[in-house]
Amino acid sequence: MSNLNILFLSLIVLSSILFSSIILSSCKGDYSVNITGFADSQLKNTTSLNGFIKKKISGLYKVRTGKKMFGDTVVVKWSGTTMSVFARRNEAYMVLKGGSLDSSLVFEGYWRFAQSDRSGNIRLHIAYMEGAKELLQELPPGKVILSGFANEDGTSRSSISLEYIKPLKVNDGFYIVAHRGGGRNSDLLPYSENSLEIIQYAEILGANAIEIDIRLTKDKEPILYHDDNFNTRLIKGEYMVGPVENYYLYQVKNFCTLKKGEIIPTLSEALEVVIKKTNIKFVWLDIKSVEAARISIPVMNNYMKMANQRGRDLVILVGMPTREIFDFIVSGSEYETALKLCELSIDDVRKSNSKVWAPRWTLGYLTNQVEAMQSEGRKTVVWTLDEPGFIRKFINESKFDGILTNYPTLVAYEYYIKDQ
Amino acid sequence: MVSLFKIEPIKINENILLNKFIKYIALLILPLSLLMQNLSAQREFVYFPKAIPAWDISHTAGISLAILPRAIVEEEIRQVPVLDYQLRLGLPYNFSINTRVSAVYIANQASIGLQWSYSYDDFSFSIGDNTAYWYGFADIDGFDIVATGWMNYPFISIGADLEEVYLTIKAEMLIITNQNTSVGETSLYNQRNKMAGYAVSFAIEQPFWKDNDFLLAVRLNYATFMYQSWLAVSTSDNKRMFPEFIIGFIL
Amino acid sequence: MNITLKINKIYKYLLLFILIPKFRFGNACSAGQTPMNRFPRRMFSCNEKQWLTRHNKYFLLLILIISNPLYLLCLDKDSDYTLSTEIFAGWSYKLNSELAGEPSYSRSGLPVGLRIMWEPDNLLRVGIESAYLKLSSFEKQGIETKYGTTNAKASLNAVPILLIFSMNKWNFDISTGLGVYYLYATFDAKLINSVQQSGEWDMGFLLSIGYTYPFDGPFSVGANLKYYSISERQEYLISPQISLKYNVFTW
Repeated sequence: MSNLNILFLSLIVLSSILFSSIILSSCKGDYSVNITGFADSQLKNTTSLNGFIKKKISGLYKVRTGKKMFGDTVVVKWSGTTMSVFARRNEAYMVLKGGSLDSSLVFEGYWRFAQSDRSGNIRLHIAYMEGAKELLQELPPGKVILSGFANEDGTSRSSISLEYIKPLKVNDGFYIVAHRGGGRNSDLLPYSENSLEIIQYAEILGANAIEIDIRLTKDKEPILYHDDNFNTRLIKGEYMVGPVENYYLYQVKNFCTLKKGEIIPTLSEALEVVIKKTNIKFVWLDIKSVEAARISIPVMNNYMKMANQRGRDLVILVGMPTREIFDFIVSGSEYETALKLCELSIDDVRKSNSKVWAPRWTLGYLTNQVEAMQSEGRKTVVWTLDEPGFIRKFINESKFDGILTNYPTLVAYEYYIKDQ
Repeated sequence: MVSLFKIEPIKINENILLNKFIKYIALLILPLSLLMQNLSAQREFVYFPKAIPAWDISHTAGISLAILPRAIVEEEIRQVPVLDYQLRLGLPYNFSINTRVSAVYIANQASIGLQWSYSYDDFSFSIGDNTAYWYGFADIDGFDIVATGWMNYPFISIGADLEEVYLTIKAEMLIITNQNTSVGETSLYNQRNKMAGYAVSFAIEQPFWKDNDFLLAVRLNYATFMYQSWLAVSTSDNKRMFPEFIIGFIL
Repeated sequence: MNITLKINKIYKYLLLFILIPKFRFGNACSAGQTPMNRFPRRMFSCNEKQWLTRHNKYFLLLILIISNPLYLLCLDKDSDYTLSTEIFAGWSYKLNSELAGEPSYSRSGLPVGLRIMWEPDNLLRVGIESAYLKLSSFEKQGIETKYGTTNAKASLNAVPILLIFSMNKWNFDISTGLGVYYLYATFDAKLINSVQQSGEWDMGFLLSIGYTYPFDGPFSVGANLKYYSISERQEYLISPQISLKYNVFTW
């Protein structure tokens, strides 16, 4: 055995350890999307758009230029003061703010490909002779053409031109359910998953419903948090180590933040935001334990009452993901009035008198069972469907009343384009 | 070290005890066995890019373990351990056929390919291509899903013969040829010929015991997709690191 | 059949056998739940408390990795072996922080620890190291809780258990270590009325460079600069240390 070989081997061992270490630490090297906005924003001197204009601009558009980025057609939809544009190609979408100038309308914001880290700024106009003239006078426009450009990394510019075809169909009660309040951290959204901020962003992403995850702190406060443990995927805060149930609410509120700096919300705070600041129609509480169900159901019922008093079109449902939670909720007579969502079999749905049946999408269309549920006046929502091809297929071929997804922009596109 | 193994699931059943017992025995045997080994003249290898004589076979059986990125599988299982069998058949003119079968209940892959080798002094070089078919299924409660696909892995590798140790570095491209996913009565077919990413492997083949050689390899896949993670049905287009550890006995 | 061949065969299967069961899905899942009925809901989630059981395949892997140089070193029958212990103490500084600048935040500590090394008369040495590391502490005042307003003091500590590989020449050494850290936070809040603690096991590594000055006899003193990385939590520490080393015995 030569010394040289031993040296070699030692080097191999040392370097393999180093490699493993690099691999381990590479977990943090994740992707990010930075949305900078235009330095020379044209929105500054504009006046905000009225409801008439927003309504007239919403609709299906033909893509005249920019097909490579956005495909052949796009869906333009307003929520509040934000205009969202949904496309199929590249799973693209745009989020824009708009305003009117003397003789034209201007829209600025960002575009993104939902499943990659590609993004950039976008600026669109409606010129005087291309619809702005009528829109500014609140007259029905003969045509509407949104034209402008999109850039990537502030450099490359591609022209975009979208021509109005027809108005959007009215949503007939289809639930586009955003996962974790709006989307996962790994999808590089501007806000963290399960935050108050993402809940208010869900509609911009095309959702009309949300799913949120409920866990208990040590002092039995229901909070929005997905994982079993505090970890670097979800939070910043060096003193939060180990299981969530080891920590008191004061620690959750004072010693950590979510990834994008938001405070971890309690269930009450989240439902308050849903009722007062959004038009979300459906909230699915993904309960993580029996104890969390016991504590959360009364809270949920209170907010349900509040929503009814305010005339809000909203249902808040407690999810029953496991047999354990199912048995607990079914056995307690005080939980009879709570609205329930059952992830188990259709017999369990009947047994618990759940309002919604939510099977995993990996079981397929389940058409017979879905129809049976619907004939009993129940809704069916499938989870968690992210694959673009299957989203299209499920919307066009299955009978489900809703889809839980990390990509509500895609579901919204496929839904509004269906039968059009 | 040994005391670390004492933390076991709350419910200890006989299987676990047996498992534990065997583990302790193995830990005792391991150092002893190492003291007893000596070198043999006849050496076999699978990864090392040197040509093997025509119609000779060398093969290895073992385990490979891939660690899936947290961004894709989150808190779900991150390690997919797979039974791994690789076989190399020598052909004339420095060619050889490679096959590899990796199988675990829910995710399986078989590949076959051709490689050509060239050696100079203690160094060897080879170039080749492997085509793989993978198959995954889950039919238990909540799942009725089958996914299959074809991948292509063109590669080059270089290796150094350090007498007792064969050291190999291999660079591969990961190309998705097509993929089919069926759920329930519906299915989705993607014909996409898409570059999924790259992989670099480091392999050591060296004597382990008497006439037997032992393979230890680390393969760093930097890709958007790896078949072991098919059940997560990830849709991300961003490349991520999937390290894969391979341990095998050269049979 | 030759007896050593027989043992060899048995040993090989033993090794495969101890590795395979650990690779099963849901092996470390909670009591009372079979892996299969847990599978549909959470795929193959495991309880973090059973981290060790879940990850002990890494230790086996590591043992296999160590076995390479160990075995080669064992071939040198005429060399001396030494078993040494080393105690060390020093000062540490946490490199990354989001609370930097807060007046009540401290990120230095006084680590103490122990290293046991097996030193053949050769380049490579292997051993194990553990220590107590205080990473940081922070006091937040005027926290509104449902029990009233309070102050809370938090501190973050870690206990690494690392396998060390060290190369030594002319009394200088470079070491790397790979293993686990038990990372735990303690909280002390007046109103909540108890010291409360929460922790978990995380993967991590260590790099160190050092110089040892040998006295006559079994004692020597040294100085080290260590870099601790708790990779899974993205916590990094740098620590200059002095050490006292004692050669327990040589054979």
